[in-house]
Amino acid sequence: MTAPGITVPDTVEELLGDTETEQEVPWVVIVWNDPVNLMDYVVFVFQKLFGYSRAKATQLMRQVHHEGKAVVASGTREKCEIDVARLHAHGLWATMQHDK
Amino acid sequence: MSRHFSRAKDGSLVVRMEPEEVALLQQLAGELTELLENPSADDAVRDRLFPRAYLDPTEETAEDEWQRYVHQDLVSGRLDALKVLVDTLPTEPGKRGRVEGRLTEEQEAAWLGVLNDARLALGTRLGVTDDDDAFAVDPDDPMYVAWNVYAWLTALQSDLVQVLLAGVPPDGHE
Repeated sequence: MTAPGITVPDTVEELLGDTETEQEVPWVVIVWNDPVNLMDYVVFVFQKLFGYSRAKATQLMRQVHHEGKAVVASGTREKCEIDVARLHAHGLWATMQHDK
Repeated sequence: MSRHFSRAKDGSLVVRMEPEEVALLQQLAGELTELLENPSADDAVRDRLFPRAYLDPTEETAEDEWQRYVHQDLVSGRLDALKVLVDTLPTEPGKRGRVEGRLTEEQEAAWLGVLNDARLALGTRLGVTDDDDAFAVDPDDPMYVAWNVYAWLTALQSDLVQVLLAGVPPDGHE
Protein backbone atom coordinates (compact mmCIF):
# COMPACT_ATOMS: atom_id res chain seq x y z
CA MET A 1 0.00 0.00 0.00
CA THR A 2 1.24 3.46 -0.76
CA ALA A 3 0.48 6.46 1.40
CA PRO A 4 -1.47 9.49 0.19
CA GLY A 5 0.88 12.03 -1.38
CA ILE A 6 1.48 15.50 -0.08
CA THR A 7 -1.11 17.95 -1.38
CA VAL A 8 0.29 21.22 -2.64
CA PRO A 9 -2.02 24.12 -1.67
CA ASP A 10 -3.37 26.28 -4.49
CA THR A 11 -2.98 29.54 -2.61
CA VAL A 12 -0.97 31.03 0.23
CA GLU A 13 -4.23 31.72 2.12
CA GLU A 14 -5.17 28.06 1.91
CA LEU A 15 -1.75 27.08 3.20
CA LEU A 16 -1.80 29.50 6.14
CA GLY A 17 -5.44 28.95 6.98
CA ASP A 18 -5.18 25.17 7.01
CA THR A 19 -1.96 25.14 8.97
CA GLU A 20 -3.31 27.29 11.78
CA THR A 21 -6.56 25.36 12.11
CA GLU A 22 -4.81 21.99 12.10
CA GLN A 23 -2.37 23.09 14.81
CA GLU A 24 -5.14 24.40 17.08
CA VAL A 25 -7.34 21.34 16.81
CA PRO A 26 -5.46 18.06 16.43
CA TRP A 27 -7.02 15.01 14.89
CA VAL A 28 -7.39 11.65 16.58
CA VAL A 29 -7.60 8.14 15.16
CA ILE A 30 -10.22 5.93 16.81
CA VAL A 31 -10.41 2.14 16.61
CA TRP A 32 -13.88 0.67 17.21
CA ASN A 33 -14.77 -2.69 18.72
CA ASP A 34 -15.84 -5.41 16.31
CA PRO A 35 -16.79 -9.03 16.99
CA VAL A 36 -14.41 -10.61 14.46
CA ASN A 37 -10.88 -9.30 15.03
CA LEU A 38 -8.95 -11.43 17.52
CA MET A 39 -7.64 -9.66 20.63
CA ASP A 40 -4.06 -10.85 20.09
CA TYR A 41 -4.24 -9.84 16.43
CA VAL A 42 -5.26 -6.30 17.42
CA VAL A 43 -2.32 -6.13 19.86
CA PHE A 44 0.01 -7.34 17.09
CA VAL A 45 -1.27 -4.68 14.66
CA PHE A 46 -0.92 -1.85 17.22
CA GLN A 47 2.68 -2.90 17.93
CA LYS A 48 3.52 -3.31 14.25
CA LEU A 49 1.97 -0.06 13.00
CA PHE A 50 2.72 2.30 15.88
CA GLY A 51 5.72 0.70 17.59
CA TYR A 52 3.85 0.57 20.88
CA SER A 53 5.05 -1.65 23.72
CA ARG A 54 3.18 -4.89 24.37
CA ALA A 55 1.77 -3.30 27.54
CA LYS A 56 0.46 -0.18 25.76
CA ALA A 57 -0.90 -2.14 22.79
CA THR A 58 -2.67 -4.53 25.15
CA GLN A 59 -4.13 -1.68 27.21
CA LEU A 60 -5.50 -0.03 24.03
CA MET A 61 -6.93 -3.34 22.79
CA ARG A 62 -8.69 -3.85 26.15
CA GLN A 63 -10.09 -0.32 26.00
CA VAL A 64 -11.47 -1.00 22.50
CA HIS A 65 -12.98 -4.27 23.67
CA HIS A 66 -14.54 -3.03 26.93
CA GLU A 67 -15.44 0.58 26.12
CA GLY A 68 -16.24 0.06 22.45
CA LYS A 69 -13.50 2.34 21.13
CA ALA A 70 -10.11 3.89 21.89
CA VAL A 71 -7.94 6.70 20.56
CA VAL A 72 -4.87 4.94 19.21
CA ALA A 73 -3.02 7.82 17.50
CA SER A 74 -3.22 11.57 16.95
CA GLY A 75 -1.67 14.35 14.91
CA THR A 76 -2.28 16.33 11.74
CA ARG A 77 -5.10 15.49 9.37
CA GLU A 78 -2.59 14.09 6.88
CA LYS A 79 -0.90 11.83 9.44
CA CYS A 80 -4.24 10.54 10.70
CA GLU A 81 -5.48 9.83 7.16
CA ILE A 82 -2.40 7.66 6.62
CA ASP A 83 -2.85 5.91 9.99
CA VAL A 84 -6.52 5.16 9.21
CA ALA A 85 -5.58 3.71 5.81
CA ARG A 86 -2.91 1.48 7.41
CA LEU A 87 -5.40 0.27 10.02
CA HIS A 88 -7.98 -0.46 7.31
CA ALA A 89 -5.35 -2.37 5.34
CA HIS A 90 -5.02 -4.60 8.42
CA GLY A 91 -8.79 -5.04 8.74
CA LEU A 92 -9.29 -2.87 11.82
CA TRP A 93 -12.34 -0.61 11.94
CA ALA A 94 -10.82 2.86 12.33
CA THR A 95 -12.11 6.40 11.83
CA MET A 96 -10.72 9.88 12.47
CA GLN A 97 -12.17 13.08 13.89
CA HIS A 98 -11.23 16.39 15.48
CA ASP A 99 -10.10 16.06 19.08
CA LYS A 100 -12.82 18.22 20.59
CA MET B 1 -6.23 -29.18 16.28
CA SER B 2 -2.46 -29.53 16.06
CA ARG B 3 -0.27 -26.52 15.38
CA HIS B 4 -0.20 -25.23 11.83
CA PHE B 5 2.62 -22.70 12.13
CA SER B 6 6.02 -22.78 13.79
CA ARG B 7 9.23 -20.76 13.58
CA ALA B 8 12.22 -22.56 12.04
CA LYS B 9 15.77 -21.97 13.27
CA ASP B 10 16.61 -20.05 10.08
CA GLY B 11 13.78 -17.59 10.88
CA SER B 12 11.36 -18.77 8.22
CA LEU B 13 7.84 -19.75 9.13
CA VAL B 14 6.92 -23.40 8.66
CA VAL B 15 3.33 -24.19 7.61
CA ARG B 16 1.95 -27.68 8.09
CA MET B 17 -1.55 -28.60 6.96
CA GLU B 18 -3.83 -31.37 5.86
CA PRO B 19 -4.24 -31.44 2.07
CA GLU B 20 -7.97 -30.76 2.60
CA GLU B 21 -7.10 -27.61 4.52
CA VAL B 22 -4.91 -26.40 1.67
CA ALA B 23 -7.78 -27.01 -0.75
CA LEU B 24 -10.16 -25.07 1.48
CA LEU B 25 -7.75 -22.13 1.75
CA GLN B 26 -7.37 -22.11 -2.01
CA GLN B 27 -11.15 -22.08 -2.45
CA LEU B 28 -11.61 -19.26 0.08
CA ALA B 29 -8.83 -17.24 -1.56
CA GLY B 30 -10.60 -17.63 -4.91
CA GLU B 31 -13.91 -16.45 -3.46
CA LEU B 32 -12.28 -13.47 -1.76
CA THR B 33 -10.46 -12.52 -4.97
CA GLU B 34 -13.74 -12.69 -6.89
CA LEU B 35 -15.42 -10.50 -4.27
CA LEU B 36 -12.65 -7.87 -4.45
CA GLU B 37 -12.50 -7.85 -8.25
CA ASN B 38 -16.28 -7.69 -8.72
CA PRO B 39 -17.68 -5.76 -5.78
CA SER B 40 -21.43 -5.44 -5.61
CA ALA B 41 -22.57 -1.88 -5.05
CA ASP B 42 -24.30 -2.45 -1.73
CA ASP B 43 -22.43 -5.13 0.12
CA ALA B 44 -21.98 -5.36 3.89
CA VAL B 45 -18.69 -7.23 3.39
CA ARG B 46 -17.36 -4.44 1.22
CA ASP B 47 -18.36 -1.89 3.88
CA ARG B 48 -16.54 -3.91 6.53
CA LEU B 49 -13.34 -4.38 4.49
CA PHE B 50 -13.35 -0.75 3.33
CA PRO B 51 -14.90 1.43 6.03
CA ARG B 52 -15.18 5.22 5.94
CA ALA B 53 -12.34 7.28 7.44
CA TYR B 54 -14.66 10.12 8.51
CA LEU B 55 -17.92 9.54 10.38
CA ASP B 56 -18.75 13.27 10.40
CA PRO B 57 -21.14 13.89 7.45
CA THR B 58 -19.78 17.46 7.08
CA GLU B 59 -16.43 15.91 6.09
CA GLU B 60 -17.89 14.35 2.94
CA THR B 61 -15.42 16.17 0.67
CA ALA B 62 -12.46 14.98 2.74
CA GLU B 63 -13.93 11.46 2.77
CA ASP B 64 -14.26 11.45 -1.03
CA GLU B 65 -10.70 12.71 -1.48
CA TRP B 66 -9.36 10.17 0.99
CA GLN B 67 -11.20 7.34 -0.79
CA ARG B 68 -9.77 8.54 -4.09
CA TYR B 69 -6.24 8.44 -2.64
CA VAL B 70 -6.33 5.11 -0.84
CA HIS B 71 -9.18 2.87 -2.01
CA GLN B 72 -7.49 1.35 -5.04
CA ASP B 73 -4.29 0.79 -3.03
CA LEU B 74 -6.27 -0.98 -0.32
CA VAL B 75 -7.94 -3.22 -2.93
CA SER B 76 -4.59 -3.93 -4.66
CA GLY B 77 -2.88 -4.69 -1.35
CA ARG B 78 -5.52 -7.29 -0.52
CA LEU B 79 -5.40 -8.85 -4.00
CA ASP B 80 -1.58 -9.00 -3.87
CA ALA B 81 -1.72 -10.76 -0.49
CA LEU B 82 -4.20 -13.29 -1.92
CA LYS B 83 -1.82 -14.02 -4.82
CA VAL B 84 1.07 -14.51 -2.39
CA LEU B 85 -0.97 -16.95 -0.29
CA VAL B 86 -2.11 -18.99 -3.28
CA ASP B 87 1.48 -19.08 -4.62
CA THR B 88 2.90 -20.23 -1.27
CA LEU B 89 0.33 -22.84 -0.24
CA PRO B 90 2.25 -25.83 1.18
CA THR B 91 3.02 -28.62 -1.28
CA GLU B 92 5.93 -30.63 0.21
CA PRO B 93 4.93 -34.01 1.67
CA GLY B 94 5.32 -33.99 5.47
CA LYS B 95 4.59 -36.29 8.38
CA ARG B 96 1.25 -38.08 8.85
CA GLY B 97 -0.12 -37.19 5.43
CA ARG B 98 0.29 -33.46 5.94
CA VAL B 99 1.92 -31.06 3.51
CA GLU B 100 4.53 -28.47 4.44
CA GLY B 101 5.78 -25.13 3.19
CA ARG B 102 7.99 -22.26 4.31
CA LEU B 103 7.20 -18.56 4.32
CA THR B 104 9.39 -15.46 4.31
CA GLU B 105 8.52 -12.51 6.54
CA GLU B 106 6.69 -10.78 3.66
CA GLN B 107 4.76 -13.94 2.83
CA GLU B 108 3.71 -14.54 6.44
CA ALA B 109 2.32 -10.99 6.58
CA ALA B 110 0.30 -11.76 3.43
CA TRP B 111 -1.05 -14.96 5.03
CA LEU B 112 -2.02 -13.11 8.18
CA GLY B 113 -3.84 -10.46 6.12
CA VAL B 114 -5.74 -13.00 4.03
CA LEU B 115 -6.79 -15.04 7.07
CA ASN B 116 -8.07 -11.87 8.72
CA ASP B 117 -9.87 -10.67 5.58
CA ALA B 118 -11.46 -14.11 5.11
CA ARG B 119 -12.73 -14.03 8.73
CA LEU B 120 -14.02 -10.47 8.31
CA ALA B 121 -15.88 -11.44 5.13
CA LEU B 122 -17.31 -14.69 6.51
CA GLY B 123 -18.00 -13.18 9.95
CA THR B 124 -19.94 -10.33 8.32
CA ARG B 125 -21.98 -12.77 6.21
CA LEU B 126 -22.73 -14.89 9.29
CA GLY B 127 -23.58 -11.83 11.39
CA VAL B 128 -21.08 -12.81 14.09
CA THR B 129 -21.53 -11.01 17.41
CA ASP B 130 -19.28 -10.72 20.48
CA ASP B 131 -21.26 -13.47 22.21
CA ASP B 132 -21.22 -16.05 19.43
CA ASP B 133 -19.47 -19.34 19.97
CA ALA B 134 -18.86 -20.81 16.55
CA PHE B 135 -18.18 -24.22 18.11
CA ALA B 136 -21.68 -24.38 19.62
CA VAL B 137 -23.71 -24.03 16.40
CA ASP B 138 -26.51 -26.55 15.88
CA PRO B 139 -25.67 -29.14 13.17
CA ASP B 140 -29.15 -28.51 11.73
CA ASP B 141 -28.34 -24.82 11.21
CA PRO B 142 -28.27 -24.17 7.44
CA MET B 143 -25.03 -22.21 8.00
CA TYR B 144 -23.41 -25.02 10.02
CA VAL B 145 -20.65 -25.62 7.48
CA ALA B 146 -19.90 -21.88 7.17
CA TRP B 147 -19.70 -21.60 10.97
CA ASN B 148 -17.25 -24.48 11.03
CA VAL B 149 -15.12 -22.85 8.35
CA TYR B 150 -15.16 -19.65 10.40
CA ALA B 151 -14.09 -21.53 13.54
CA TRP B 152 -11.31 -23.24 11.62
CA LEU B 153 -10.08 -19.91 10.19
CA THR B 154 -10.15 -18.46 13.71
CA ALA B 155 -8.01 -21.29 15.08
CA LEU B 156 -5.63 -20.98 12.12
CA GLN B 157 -5.22 -17.22 12.48
CA SER B 158 -4.91 -17.47 16.25
CA ASP B 159 -2.10 -19.99 15.85
CA LEU B 160 -0.30 -17.71 13.37
CA VAL B 161 -0.71 -14.62 15.58
CA GLN B 162 0.83 -16.46 18.56
CA VAL B 163 3.93 -17.31 16.51
CA LEU B 164 4.22 -13.77 15.12
CA LEU B 165 3.66 -12.07 18.51
CA ALA B 166 6.46 -14.18 19.99
CA GLY B 167 8.82 -12.44 17.53
CA VAL B 168 7.77 -8.88 18.42
CA PRO B 169 9.90 -7.22 21.15
CA PRO B 170 7.66 -6.28 24.12
CA ASP B 171 9.30 -2.87 24.57
CA GLY B 172 8.13 -1.16 21.40
CA HIS B 173 9.92 1.69 19.63
CA GLU B 174 7.73 4.77 19.90
